[in-house]
Amino acid sequence: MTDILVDVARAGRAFANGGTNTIALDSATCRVRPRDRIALVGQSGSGKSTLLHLMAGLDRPTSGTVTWPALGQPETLRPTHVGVVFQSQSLVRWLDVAENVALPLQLAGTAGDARQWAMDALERFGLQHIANKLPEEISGGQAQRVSLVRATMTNPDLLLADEPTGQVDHATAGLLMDMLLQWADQTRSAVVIATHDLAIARRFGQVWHMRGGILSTETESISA
Amino acid sequence: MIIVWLVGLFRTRMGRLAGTIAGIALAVALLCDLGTFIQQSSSSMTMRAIASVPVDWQVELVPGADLASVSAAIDAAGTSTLLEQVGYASVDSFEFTTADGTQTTGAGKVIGIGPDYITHFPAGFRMLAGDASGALLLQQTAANLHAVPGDAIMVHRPGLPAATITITGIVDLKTADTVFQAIGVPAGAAPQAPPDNAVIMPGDAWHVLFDPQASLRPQDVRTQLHASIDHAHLPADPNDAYRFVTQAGHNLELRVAGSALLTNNLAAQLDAARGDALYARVLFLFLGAPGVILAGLLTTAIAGAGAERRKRDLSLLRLRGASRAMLTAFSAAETATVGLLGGALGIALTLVTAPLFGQSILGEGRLAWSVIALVAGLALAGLAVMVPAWQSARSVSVVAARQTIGAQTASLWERINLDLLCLVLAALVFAQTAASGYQVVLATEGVTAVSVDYTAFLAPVLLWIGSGLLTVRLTRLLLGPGRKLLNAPATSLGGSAAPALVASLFRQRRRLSVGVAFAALAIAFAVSTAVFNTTYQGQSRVDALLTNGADVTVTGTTAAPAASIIAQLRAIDGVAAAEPMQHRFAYVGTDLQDLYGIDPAAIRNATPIVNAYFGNGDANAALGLLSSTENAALVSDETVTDFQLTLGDTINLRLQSADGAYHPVPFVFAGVIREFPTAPRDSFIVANAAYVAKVTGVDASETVLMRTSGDATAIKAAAMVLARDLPSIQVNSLSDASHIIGSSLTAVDLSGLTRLELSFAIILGIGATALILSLGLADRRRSFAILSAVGASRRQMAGFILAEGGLVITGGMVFGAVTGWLVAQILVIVLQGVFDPPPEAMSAPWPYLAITAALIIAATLLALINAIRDAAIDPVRRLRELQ
Repeated sequence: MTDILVDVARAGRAFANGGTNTIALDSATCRVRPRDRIALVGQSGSGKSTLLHLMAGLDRPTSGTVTWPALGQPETLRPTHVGVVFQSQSLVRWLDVAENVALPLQLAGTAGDARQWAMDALERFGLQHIANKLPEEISGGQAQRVSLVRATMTNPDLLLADEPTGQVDHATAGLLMDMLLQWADQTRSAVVIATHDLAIARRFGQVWHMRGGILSTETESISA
Repeated sequence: MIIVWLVGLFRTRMGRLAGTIAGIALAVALLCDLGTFIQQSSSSMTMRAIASVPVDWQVELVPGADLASVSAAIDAAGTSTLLEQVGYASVDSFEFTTADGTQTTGAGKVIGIGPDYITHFPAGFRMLAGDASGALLLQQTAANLHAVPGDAIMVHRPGLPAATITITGIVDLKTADTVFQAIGVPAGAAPQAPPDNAVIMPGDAWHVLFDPQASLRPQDVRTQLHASIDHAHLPADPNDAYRFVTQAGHNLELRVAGSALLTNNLAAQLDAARGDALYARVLFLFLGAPGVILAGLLTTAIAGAGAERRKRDLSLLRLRGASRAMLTAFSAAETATVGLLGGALGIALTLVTAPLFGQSILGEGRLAWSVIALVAGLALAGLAVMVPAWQSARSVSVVAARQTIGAQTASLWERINLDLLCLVLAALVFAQTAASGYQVVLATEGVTAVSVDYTAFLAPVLLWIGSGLLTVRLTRLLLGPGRKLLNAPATSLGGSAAPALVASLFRQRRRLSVGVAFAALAIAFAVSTAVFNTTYQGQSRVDALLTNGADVTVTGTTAAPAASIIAQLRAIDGVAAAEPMQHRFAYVGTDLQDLYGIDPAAIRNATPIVNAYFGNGDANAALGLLSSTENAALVSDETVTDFQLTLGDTINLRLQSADGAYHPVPFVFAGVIREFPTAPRDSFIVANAAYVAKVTGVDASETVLMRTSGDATAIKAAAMVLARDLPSIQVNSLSDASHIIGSSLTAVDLSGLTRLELSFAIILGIGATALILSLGLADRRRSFAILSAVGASRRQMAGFILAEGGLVITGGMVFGAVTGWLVAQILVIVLQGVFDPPPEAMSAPWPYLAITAALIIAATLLALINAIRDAAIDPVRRLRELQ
């Protein structure tokens, strides 16, 4: 039985833009295993989000393959095996914070009181005070933290987070990463995050680099 | 800059803009069609009303008056096109001797007409035998004298020797009531029986015979001028035409005061039609206005479906430095564009569809109503686009633009219970209208001013508004405090995601409740229109039956009664039943009234006798009373009032006996009769035929009423063949009745209006459900993409979408059906004056309602399927598109 969660083999993703093709990801190859801690760094537009979307099964490569040997088919990945945190606001507007957090449990058909579990999770992440608020009533940073909590609710094997600290201050970002990594340790989940924040990237075991759509999985030293 | 904005709008918001343009087009088309319909139908009512007037004006000269100056006055007063001089002479009797003996009549009249009179005033003349080259004998007189064309009869002039007139033809003068009426009083105000004996002869010959009599006994000889008014110059609306003709008549009376008297038949006929025309106007208004209002609301809702994105767009523009003036200019450009495009599309729609709805494309009122509808379309565009955009521009900020779901506080109308207030007020207004006897239109005979009690229509309007708001309130209650009730259906749709589904419905209860109310109002419009129109059309048949008497009616005279061939009539193939009915005349005091003698046990075999015909509202009881009391008589309300009758009173009526003279006959007043087959609108009497036959010694039944189970036209033709030997017999079928009804409102063919309204009702129903739903769903594609990204399966996504659709369609259907039925019920009751007699039950057009429901459900399903397919697009692509 393989332990590879995601196997990306020479995957490319091109987007049609008028008459021309824009290559967002060029023949990327990588693997993610259980308990991996991977930070994906690179400039804006380097292809980080594209790679994360392919790994989450939200998008399909235009060349190469992406498979999930230990997890199954792409349509069964979310919300049970893969949790995703988006770069942009991604809370359902007509559900309050607790309901948003409980949503993956309900979609997965998990038995039990999903709302209570959501309240517990929010408390762990220090967000219980906004549990009954609607997304439009909280700040962007709070929304992103809520998205992160939501992604952890089903204890997925793989958590993919796209700039999860993009809208919070440095101190809060650090605190958030503490909680995320603590959660990952407890659940033995693999975590891949895309970030600009090199201080955060240093906390991850592996640091992959993206440059112009080309992925380098060799961990490089990160200069401050 | 504005053009760039507009191009961008059409590129990115095509669905919403197309929906708004379609909504405006619909409102413009409906308003234009309805307005044109009102105008064209008013005009046709006027034309129909005046077409049956035999002589527009009858002007009688006082003895010694100058004919030429009166003729000149008529020309000056009105736009008369034809003028004919007619002489009237009273004679002592007519006499004719045959081999069997000499027949002598009672007093009679001889009228002298010009050579072109019958050509100029053809209405009412029906040649039965011979030709019109000489003297014509009235059918009844010919029967009395046993004379035929070619015979020479004697005329006994008072104070002069008898003269001889050679008859060239026998004529049935249907308009004898008018021709022989008293002049100088309002037409119909003092009805008197036309003479039984009369001769019509050429004017020259008449002068030879009666000029000497005029010198000797001027009170017995009169000269009238019969004038025809130029109908082309009459205003189209019956009320305006009535005012015009009445005022022209007054002008003439002023000019000829002291030398001539006028009876204005045209005004009298228009007087009767104008009340109907007003009813027609309010009928069209109140059946069509909800559709126009609904189209307007729909347009604002469609435009509002993009409010969220509009706010975001505007806030981004503000963020990038756009001034409020610039935002307002953008909105104004959008308003003008959708208003003009929608208006043009609406007018084009009316031109294409007008023939389908029985309208003339370039007919009267089309241009004026097109302009009115276009202006209304632009105003609607302003209301739907400009006003909300202006409000957004005033208040919008990025933060405010994001906050659209949180505000769930009760609206002002909810806090003041406006819905319940409207419903209570509707009930009160309805009760008030009921207390006033449903006199919605007041067109008092002879009074120029007319009035419509528009407050009566507050009842259906308030019911409509109240029901709409109540639908919103109840839906919010269901989705709010009562949302536990939704758990079971939500589980079946969303499975384990049911709590999220219920929560999403709860948070969107404001938007969804408005959607349900829109659907309900649209469906209510379809139901109320369809039910009212079907009831109306059904009642038109009852009205026609009432006028004609039965499917086919054979009418003879006492001398040649139709019942003499009843056995042969019953044997005609397709005749289900044939029953005799007497039609006599009886004097009630000095008032001559029609008397109908029936067999109360059998009359219903041939024609429906409904409760509304009787004062006690119970046909069985009234007919039972006639059966059990031989000399019972049912009389009109007016008679009861005029003669202060109470039930059980003995009333002595004078009936014509076999000897030709009128003798008093005792009857017992047994009840009030309001309508009866073939009976006139004014006073009449219904009694037992057997008793009438016994007391008069004449057992003839002049009329036979026939119920058919086959082709009425063929049966009518067969009856005419059988009756060919009976002089002056008439056979009429239901199709003839609509012509007899003339300007009566139920004779107005509503089929065009019905098709128009029912077509729009379907379009509005689809718009209010499928279109609003799909626009609302399209506006939330980002949220569905997030749901999908989080891990919702296709089934769960479909559950979210179907829940909204199911709620809108189910709520809309239930609330809409109930509201529509109630509105139709109130309209039928409030518009009781339209129906003659009022309907006893509502008629539902089940096939139409089923088709409408099926189309609305199908369109909604299509919208939902489309939304489900759209939600299946990979979420990253969707989120990227909607960044």
